[in-house]
Amino acid sequence: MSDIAIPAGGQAHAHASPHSRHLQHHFHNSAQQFEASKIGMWLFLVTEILLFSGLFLAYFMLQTRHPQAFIEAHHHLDRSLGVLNTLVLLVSSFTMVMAVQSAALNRIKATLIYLYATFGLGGVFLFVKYIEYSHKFHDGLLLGNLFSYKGANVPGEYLFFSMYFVMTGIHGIHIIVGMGVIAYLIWRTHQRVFSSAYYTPIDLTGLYWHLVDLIWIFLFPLLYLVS
Amino acid sequence: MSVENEAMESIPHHGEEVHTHNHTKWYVANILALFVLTGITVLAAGINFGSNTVNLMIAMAIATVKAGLVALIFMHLLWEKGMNAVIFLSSLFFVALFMSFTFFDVETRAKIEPATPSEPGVSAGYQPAPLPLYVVAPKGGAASEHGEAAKAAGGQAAH
Repeated sequence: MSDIAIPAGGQAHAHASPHSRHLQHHFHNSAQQFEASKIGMWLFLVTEILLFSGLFLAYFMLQTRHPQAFIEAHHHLDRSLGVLNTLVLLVSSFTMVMAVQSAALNRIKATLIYLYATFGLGGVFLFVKYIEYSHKFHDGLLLGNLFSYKGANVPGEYLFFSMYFVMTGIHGIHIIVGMGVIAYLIWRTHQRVFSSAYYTPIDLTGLYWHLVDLIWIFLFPLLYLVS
Repeated sequence: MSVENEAMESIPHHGEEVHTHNHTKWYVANILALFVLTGITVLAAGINFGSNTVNLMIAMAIATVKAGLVALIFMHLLWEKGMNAVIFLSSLFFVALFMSFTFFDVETRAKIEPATPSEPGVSAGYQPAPLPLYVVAPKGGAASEHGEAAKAAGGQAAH
C-alpha cells in the first residue's frame, strides 16, 4: 500500500467522524474507496493513451513517407515557444503534485496556492498556443485543404500541419478541460471540502493533468524537433 | 473473507498514526531531471544519428524516459501497489501491438504491389500518389504550376 495514498479517513472507519459523509455505503472504508477511485481513473487514462496512440501512429506513417515535407514544414514552428510550453507544462505538473501532497498533509492553504499556480500555468500554455496558432492562421499554414501558404517548396507540407493541428488541438482541449476541473477544485477547496481525510478529486485530477503533460512530452519532439 | 481481511490488514486501524510521507525532495529532483532531459532532447535533435528513423527513435527513447519519470514520481507508481502500474503497462502493450502490426502491414506491401519511391529518402513500400504544393489554389486566380494537381487533391479531400 502506498504511503502517500492512505487517506487518514481509514482510521475514521465505523466511527461517526465529520469525514465519514464521503464514504459510500458499498465501500468498506475510505482507503478502499480511494484505491477503487484511482483504479477507475487509471482505466480512463488508458483510454486516453489509446486515443492518442492512433494519432501518433498516423503521424509516424505520414512522417516516414514524407520526411522532406515534414522537415521543411516544421521550420514554420517556433522551437523556443515549443521549449517554453514544455517547461510550463512540466512546472505545472510539479505544482499539481504539490497540491495533491499538500492536501494529503492537510495543508489546505498550500493546496489552494498550488492549485491556483497549476491553473495559471495551464493558462500560460494556452496563451502561448494561441500566439502560435494565430501566426499559422495568418500565414495560411493550416490543416488539410485549408492549407494556403504560398511559400511551400516541398510537396505535402499540409500533411504536417494536419497532424500538428489535430494533435495539438486535441491536446489543447484536454488542457482546457483540466483547467475547468482545477477551477472546480479551487472552488471546493475554498469551501473546505478537502482535507487529508478526503482529497480524492484532487488526486485524480492530478493523475489526469500528469497524463496530459506526458502526452505533450511526446508531441514536443515530434512536432518541433523533426530532423 | 480473505479479500476483506487482507484489505483490513493493509489499512491503518483506528487510532494508528497514518504515515503520509513528504515527497517534496523527490518532486523537486524529478522536475530538475525533466528539465535536463528536455535540454538533451533539443540537443539530440541537432545531431544526425544516421537516418530519419534512427533520429525519430532516439527522440522517442528520451521522451519515454521522461514519461517514465512522470509516471513513477508524479503519478506515484513508484510507491503504489502493482495494480495501477499493470493497468498502465497493459495499455502500452496494446499500443505497441497496434503500431507494430500496422508497420508490418504497410512496410511489406511493396512485396505485393511494387512501387518506386516518389520522393528522395522515402523507403520503398506503399507509395501514395504525388502530393501537390497547395491544396487550395492561391487567391487571385494566379494558376501555379501545380494548380492542376492542387485542384485534383482539393477535389479528393472534399469527398
